[in-house]
Amino acid sequence: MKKENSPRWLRLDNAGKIYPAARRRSWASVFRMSATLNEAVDVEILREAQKNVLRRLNTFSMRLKSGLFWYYLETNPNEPEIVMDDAYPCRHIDQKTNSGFNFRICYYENRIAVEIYHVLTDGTGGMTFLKTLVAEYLRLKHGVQIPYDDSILDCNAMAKPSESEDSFLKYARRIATSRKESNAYHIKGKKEEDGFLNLICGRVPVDIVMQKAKEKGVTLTTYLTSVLILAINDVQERENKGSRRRLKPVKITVPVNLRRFMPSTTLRNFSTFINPGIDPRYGEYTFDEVLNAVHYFMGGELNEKSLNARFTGNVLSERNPFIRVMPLFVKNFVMKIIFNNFGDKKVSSTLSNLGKVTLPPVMEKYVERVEWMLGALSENPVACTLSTYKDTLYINMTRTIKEPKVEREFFTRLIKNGIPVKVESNQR
Amino acid sequence: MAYCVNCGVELSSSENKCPLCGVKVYRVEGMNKEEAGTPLYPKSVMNVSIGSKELLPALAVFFLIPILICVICDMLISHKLTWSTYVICAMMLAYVYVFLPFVLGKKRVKLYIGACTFATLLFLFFLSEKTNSGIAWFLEIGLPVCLGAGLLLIALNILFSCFGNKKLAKIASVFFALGTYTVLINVCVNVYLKMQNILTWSLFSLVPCVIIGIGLLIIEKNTRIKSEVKRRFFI
Repeated sequence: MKKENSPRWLRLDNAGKIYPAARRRSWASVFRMSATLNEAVDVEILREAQKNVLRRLNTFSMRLKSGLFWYYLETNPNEPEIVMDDAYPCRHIDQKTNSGFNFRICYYENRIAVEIYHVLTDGTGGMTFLKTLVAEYLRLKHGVQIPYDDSILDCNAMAKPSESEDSFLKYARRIATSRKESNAYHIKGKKEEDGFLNLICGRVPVDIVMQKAKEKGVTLTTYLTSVLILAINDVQERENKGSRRRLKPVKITVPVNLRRFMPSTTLRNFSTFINPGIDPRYGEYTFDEVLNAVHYFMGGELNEKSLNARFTGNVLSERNPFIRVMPLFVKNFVMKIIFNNFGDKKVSSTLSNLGKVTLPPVMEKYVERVEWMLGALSENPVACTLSTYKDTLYINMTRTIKEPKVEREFFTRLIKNGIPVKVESNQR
Repeated sequence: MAYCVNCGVELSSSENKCPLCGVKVYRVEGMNKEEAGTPLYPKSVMNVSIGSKELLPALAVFFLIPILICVICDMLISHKLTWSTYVICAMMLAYVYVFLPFVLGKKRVKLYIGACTFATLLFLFFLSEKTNSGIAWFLEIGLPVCLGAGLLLIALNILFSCFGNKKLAKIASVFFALGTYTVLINVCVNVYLKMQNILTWSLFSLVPCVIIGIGLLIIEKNTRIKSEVKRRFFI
């Protein structure tokens, strides 16, 4: 891929527009994906692999700039530094100190990790980046012949225009759903003042969880979303000491990969979300009742029409001539207000399932684990990510408060349901 | 392999205590010990700032603009600082009220109340000097009323933290504070106006405030009455 063929600048995609506008000190909107090899990482080879990958996935190397009316991405001629991991995952990515890049590649012992600012891509795009990077690293290190596909890209091939398209604009229709929703309960706790992100990683045999979910007639995401809802609700009920009137709805944001519903191959943001949950003011919910509520909510929402109507609202706002002519600083102000009122306020936490991560057998023998995690959310202190690699389900729970009360409730509930959990953490 | 005796989760070999409940890992002596695994993340910390409260200094500078405009206009018209000193002092007071909480943080409430009281006193003193109305009203009304408000708020803050979850006791303390404050205002005004009776109208607010306060305290103390009241007056 020659550099001249890469786009020199790009508009931010529809979902990416919110991140620079609503970004704040406590909310970096960074996520992290990592692959652990069965050998120590060779930094020099990783640097070489990074160079090749950025030539192919050119949208990742772009820097964020502000125009008069909108932010945009522009080609960045610099070369990013590869840094060693430290105790704090998912830190703010500051373009100024990061040679203009909106991602960073880190390594530690056997692990290669990519931390990406959400303005560039979503989880699917991030996983493609990680898999391509690891594939290129293994090709350079061991001369492995990689069978390339849609999620592991050939670094010698040309970038396709469809990979950098804004699929939101392409697939949006004209009718949007209302954004009106009730506010949800927010987990309380003592903030980590120095920005430390606590991580507890639970490893679970995926076949056991799948079997448990199957017994209840639901999917793995529905099963674990329900467990998380009940865990958060238990924390809420303990805080309110039995006063049901003062309880608030417990809702979880579940991001949905729109590529599953629309034929897009974009490597930029193309996901939306749904917010299943319960209202504990109506009474005490049993696990089966929560499973039912989440299962049928998801059944009603997870179809092309409903999802399309969900993101169409944002696209219509972007196309609105009054909004378009607003100077950027006014837009930022307005978007911040909208995000503060319609974003994290409506939910109690996030549970994002990236699904089963598969690698070709030639790569699989070198890669021991693949997982990912979300950085701090804007309002909610606890976030949960799921990914399955080989036979293990990785449940990564990150939090910005000191107390692991939700995590404890969540994992002990799994154990009570007969699912063994092995935990590790970055506790200080 | 080790398990948390409290949570039941299996703990990775790198964990010295359970990350969910903090219980120390119990490893049986003599059993074939697992080697301590590599920690999930290194303990070292990069010296990278996580961003700063950049908005606060920007806002503080922004509010300097009206002060500067007033000073320039005043200097151009009267060739010295006259009316603009009111603006300067009022803005200084606003700075203390608005920006100090961000600097002090949520926990230093007493210090914040003390600083606000002191700033208000200085402002009142400035007004009494600037308007040539004599120091008497400042000493006899401004100073005691302002100081009294500050002290009562600090006292309420201490009482609130002592009472914990006792809501009725908290409300009672507010009533006592209100009653005391009306008496203080009444005394100050009457002394300033050189009236014969130093306590007049404030008795009409003091007595109900004290009665309500005592009533609430009794209800708070007595669980039987508390549940009786709850039963009879629930909405």
